[in-house]
Amino acid sequence: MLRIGAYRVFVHMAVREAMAFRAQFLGSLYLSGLFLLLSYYLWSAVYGEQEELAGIHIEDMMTYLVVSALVQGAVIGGTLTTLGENYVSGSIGTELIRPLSFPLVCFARTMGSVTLYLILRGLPVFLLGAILLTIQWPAPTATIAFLISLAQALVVYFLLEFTLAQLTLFTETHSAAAQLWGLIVSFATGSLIPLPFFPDTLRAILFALPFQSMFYTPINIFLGGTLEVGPITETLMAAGLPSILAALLCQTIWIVLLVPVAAGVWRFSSQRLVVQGG
Amino acid sequence: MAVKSDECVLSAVDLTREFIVHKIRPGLFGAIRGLLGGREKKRVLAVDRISFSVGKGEIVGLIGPNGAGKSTTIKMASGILKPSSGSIRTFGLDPFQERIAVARRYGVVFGQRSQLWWSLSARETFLALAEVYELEPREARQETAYLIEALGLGDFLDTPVRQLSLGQRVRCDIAAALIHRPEFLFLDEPTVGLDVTAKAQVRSYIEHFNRDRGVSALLTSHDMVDVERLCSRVLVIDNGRFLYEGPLEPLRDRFAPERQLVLDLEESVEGLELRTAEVIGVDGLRVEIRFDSRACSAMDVLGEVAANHTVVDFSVKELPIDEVIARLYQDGTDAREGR
Repeated sequence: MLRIGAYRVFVHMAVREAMAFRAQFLGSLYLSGLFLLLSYYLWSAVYGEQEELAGIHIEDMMTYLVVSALVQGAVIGGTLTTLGENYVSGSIGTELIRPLSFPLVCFARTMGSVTLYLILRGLPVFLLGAILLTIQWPAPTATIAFLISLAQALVVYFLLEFTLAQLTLFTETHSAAAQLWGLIVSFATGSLIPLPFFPDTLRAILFALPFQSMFYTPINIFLGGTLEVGPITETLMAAGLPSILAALLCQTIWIVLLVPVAAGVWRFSSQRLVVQGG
Repeated sequence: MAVKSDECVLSAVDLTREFIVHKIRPGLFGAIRGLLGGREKKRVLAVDRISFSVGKGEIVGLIGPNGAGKSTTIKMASGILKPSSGSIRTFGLDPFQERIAVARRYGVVFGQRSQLWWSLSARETFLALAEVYELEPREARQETAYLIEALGLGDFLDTPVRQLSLGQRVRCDIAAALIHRPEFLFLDEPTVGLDVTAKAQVRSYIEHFNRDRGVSALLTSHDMVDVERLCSRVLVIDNGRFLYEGPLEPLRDRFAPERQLVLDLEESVEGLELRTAEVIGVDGLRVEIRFDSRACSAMDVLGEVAANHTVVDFSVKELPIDEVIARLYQDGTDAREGR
């Protein structure tokens, strides 16, 4: 049975911890804004005089950047590092003496910090970008679909990060897993470069992987489901679903597939877990 | 699933845990070789086929030098580490397979590492733990009030844990370990780093909960006073093996049977010879005598001296338990190294 109340304290604690470092928070808010500005200049230069590249119109591209900044604001929080430090220092021992599922404790924590970052960092940058870059707002139904998709994206983010964090048990330091994760978030999810810009082979691989669910899928839904999609979504569309619903469902399918993977990897790694220290 | 009252709270049979330790080659060259050629692996038996049990209402001491296997044993008993072989049952359940069910019924105090949230106050911690352990609000209120009273937490209930003194923090940790009314406590060096008064306090709290609520415990400590005061039985572990298992007192008879008798005589004596004991020093009117407590009693020796001399005062000294244990560890090391 899932007992939500027992995990509430971890959501609460994650929010508190994220708020504890105000200077760091303001600094990262500034950097997020600056990053959006730089992406704007970069992509303006890439497009130059052209209206459309890789099937994406310049106006859609600007919207893409602003929505991406919203999600980035939520997920770039370094929870993998925290998790890794837990393993390396042995403080995971104090988590395991409680009658709680460790993956769910981590999920509660990630949801706490991600929600806070989404509201306090993602949203201000998003709103500023939306005003300055005059983005394309979706229709009401697409907006609702986008919000669901955003929530699903954060769940996928947790599932992938938690699974990858188990690598720490084998490398005995968390920096390797954290770097790999950083690379994946930057390039495989479509957060910096929309997937249609990748060369054919790489694009085919990335569209067949779950990473797109974190950025590319919610952004595509925000844009009304007009972007190129992967094989699962295509199959769903061929079966007659509208593109937005198909994209949403594809994300759900990935969650359904990733939950047992994360649970299995945890079961395996908990057997090998050596809680360090006396 | 229910445990019968006459059953053990904790029982282990041939419990073993092996670790693979990577040897690090010395120096920069060694580090590069380690990176290229793979590391040298060494198997270490942290806990080596130990069997023991803890009964209901009992406090058992687990003592041994650093690195003896105490923490590893506690980790296996609490279900956070999987044994390599052998079996361990906590409340009759496999603690690793059924960690959540088992964790509901025990509490843990790590003296070296707090399980509290640093930014919360004690009061907030109890509210949070009441949620974690899903206590009824009324039950939680009662229990919190009881613990605040019993442990004297009233003065610093609203101070963030990070600002508490070590003694205050340990008291909060004990309260946090008890809020869900566990049947069993793992006390891993609960008095480490505390001053004499605080240590005595912590001991009396543990005694109190043991008497008042029948909470049993497995206690590790390097302070033999803790063990003497609290434990009916000790397990002495070194290098993953038990050196001794039983009450503390016979340990002294076995490893330090000799006593010292110090006598103050009315007039000085020279060349005192005794049948029952050995004279090890004469300083003016004071005579120090060593005897074997297994062969005779202090009264026998005193009687023999008093037959020929007038004894003004006397005292008997035995080896402090710390030194008895040190001798036991040393014996273990000697046996291992074949000395």
